[in-house]
Amino acid sequence: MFRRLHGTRFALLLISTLVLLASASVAVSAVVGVEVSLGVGERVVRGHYSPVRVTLSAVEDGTEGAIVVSQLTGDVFSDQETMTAVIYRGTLEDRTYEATIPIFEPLNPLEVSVEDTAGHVLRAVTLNPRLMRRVGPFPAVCGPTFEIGLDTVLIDAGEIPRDWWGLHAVRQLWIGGNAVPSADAWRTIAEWVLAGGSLVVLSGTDFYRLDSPDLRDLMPIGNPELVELSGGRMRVQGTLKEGAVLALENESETWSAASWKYGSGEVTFVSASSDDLGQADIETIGSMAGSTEIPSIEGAGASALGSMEVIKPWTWFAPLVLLLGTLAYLVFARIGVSRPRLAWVLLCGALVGLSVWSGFASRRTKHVIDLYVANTSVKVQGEYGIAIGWSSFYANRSRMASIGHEAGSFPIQSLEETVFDSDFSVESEASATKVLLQAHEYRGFELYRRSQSFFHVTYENGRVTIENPGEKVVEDAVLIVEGKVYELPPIPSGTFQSTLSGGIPEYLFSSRRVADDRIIRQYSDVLSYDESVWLVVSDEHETVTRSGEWGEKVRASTVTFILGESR
Amino acid sequence: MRSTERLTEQGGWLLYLGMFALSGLALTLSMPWAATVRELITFPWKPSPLVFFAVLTLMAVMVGLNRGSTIAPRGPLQWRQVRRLLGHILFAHMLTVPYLIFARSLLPGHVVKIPILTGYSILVSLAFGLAAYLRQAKRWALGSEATGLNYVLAILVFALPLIAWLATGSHWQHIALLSPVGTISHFLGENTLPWSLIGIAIPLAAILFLMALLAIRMRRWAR
Repeated sequence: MFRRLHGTRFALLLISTLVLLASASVAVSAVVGVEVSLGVGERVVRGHYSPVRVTLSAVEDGTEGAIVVSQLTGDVFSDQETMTAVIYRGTLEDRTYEATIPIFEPLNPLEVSVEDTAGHVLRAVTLNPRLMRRVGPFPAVCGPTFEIGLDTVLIDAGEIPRDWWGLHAVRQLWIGGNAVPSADAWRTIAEWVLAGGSLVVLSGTDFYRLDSPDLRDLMPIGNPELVELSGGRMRVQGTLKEGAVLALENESETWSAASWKYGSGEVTFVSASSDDLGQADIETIGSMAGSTEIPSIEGAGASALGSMEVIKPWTWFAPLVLLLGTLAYLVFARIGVSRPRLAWVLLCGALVGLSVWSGFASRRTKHVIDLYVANTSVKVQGEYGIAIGWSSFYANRSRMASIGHEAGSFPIQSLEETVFDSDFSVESEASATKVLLQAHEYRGFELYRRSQSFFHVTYENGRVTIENPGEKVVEDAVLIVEGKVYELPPIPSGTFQSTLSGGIPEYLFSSRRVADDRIIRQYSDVLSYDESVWLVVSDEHETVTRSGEWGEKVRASTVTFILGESR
Repeated sequence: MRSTERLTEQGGWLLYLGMFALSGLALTLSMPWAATVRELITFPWKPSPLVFFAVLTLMAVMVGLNRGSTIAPRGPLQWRQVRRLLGHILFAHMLTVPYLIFARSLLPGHVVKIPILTGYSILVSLAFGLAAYLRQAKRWALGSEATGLNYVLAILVFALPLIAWLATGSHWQHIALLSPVGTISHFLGENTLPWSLIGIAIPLAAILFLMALLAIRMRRWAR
């Protein structure tokens, strides 16, 4: 029989099989076309967020599935773990899907796969971020074509990511030339600056091209207009806004640079187009403009976790029972021979009493729990709003934990401080991330997102007016005016007015909440308390949930800085 | 002799006190001492009441051995002496009831394990007590005096399987079930119920065997 298969028949069988396999693979690959672009200007930095855009084509109508990004952490010499992020789940269509993901280790390949509902991979594309890697945050230039340093990345306005944290790896963002960012892109840029980004805007006679309400809000000068200088040259002029400084002016006074702090970040406006600037001017401006520095609240988050009370029964209960029980037993042993009945009554009475007390002391609310979580976040709200979150975890034993977040907002974990040859896999779905915690392991995750302001704050001659459109009464709020902190009474829904008195310097203020105080101090320099009016709303609550043997205690602390209007 | 005297004769009262005190000490040490999570990170605490139940069982075995050899008669063997042995063991466990109730705060979601482990402790204690009873009765019959060998053997039963397990690694991990500490550890672990049941069945089988032996000896004595 085997002999018969040899020869022509065998060759035919082999060819048919190969043809079948080839056609099957062609059919599968024809199902979905996938194109992926990663990074700002296709550049990524380890431990920083990066935008990922996945363009699908040739997707059959009504195809349900998910787009999953998988990365490996570590290197071949250490433990490697797969981090997955589902950037979209639902009905797939021919369009571009964008998300902002943390880049764990750009030296490892990154895979983007399109999966059906059963988890079968319809199509997978592997990227090599090694070729896109930058060692640290880099300057990005949008519009002009000059370079500030060797690591400069040139980008188009269309490459500005959807989420502000997509610019996490950008040290300075320069905009000018023929770049015309869309309204959404300006919003992203404004939020990024609010969070700590450093923006340099170059605009000379081409100011009309850049001009937009969003830009005017960001600029350190008010009422910008083009004026003609002697010799027929044009430049943009305006009045410096409060807090803005004239940082540079060239010798011929044909251009100047003004800068100011905007939220946690900085905006530098140069009244010259890129064509009017020499390389030396560009380098001078580059060194003068600050670098992006998004304040981390890791310290406050760790403090919030560290100061949480451990749930347990009263520590001295067992020693006290030991003492009382021993006494009862000794009495029993002493009088047991002479007065046995009394001895038994006393011993049984003591045991019953101690048992009842034990029952109370070990009631359910006193049962030990195995997971402590502190979710700390800071929101900075002005015209735009951003939120920076830090989730700290500590588990007594190995277990799964979950971090809830908004769709597409994936947490980035501080690996260096937490991993010790253990499983540190992270699986992110659109709205939650699952992590496996090891016993006695502290783990921290940073999370960025947008934030919308609901309050409207006006300060005028020692009197504050706050519009609270929500239904909830705001219990803990203070107003910071000219570096002084004024405690406010509960702010009810609707319009609230209060006359300020008895303010204390910010550095003397204490809210009695460790994390809140730490954040308020940390942000004193970042947000320039001396120059603006800030309503600071604090919210903190703790919840304990139990399910069978698992229990977790979560402390959620939020400090919201709302920029007020001063008249 | 009054029941109180029988309970406390030949150093019994000290053993009950020892069991009560050492179990209480183990329970105290099983509790998390940290008041804040910061202290918990500095001084990690494993949520396991293993130490408490291990000490409880070990001390129960000591009580069983002492009571078994104390009750052992110089004359014929009797079932009521076995009942008395069981009574003494139950008395020792009765003293620890406040601890057993309090221990539930260490075992959230697994409160049912506490009566099972208490029952296991009673079984192990009874098995060792019966063994001591039979051995001592035989020694009386042969005219020998009591020795401390029972206690040494008991310690070996506790320790040897654990040493063997540590020496052989995970391939022979179930050998640890021969030690009461191994069984308790298994039972307090996750997804180990079938093997834990085998561990719990071991003292039960030993009791049945010793009872059969006792019955045979009683019959021989009657002849």
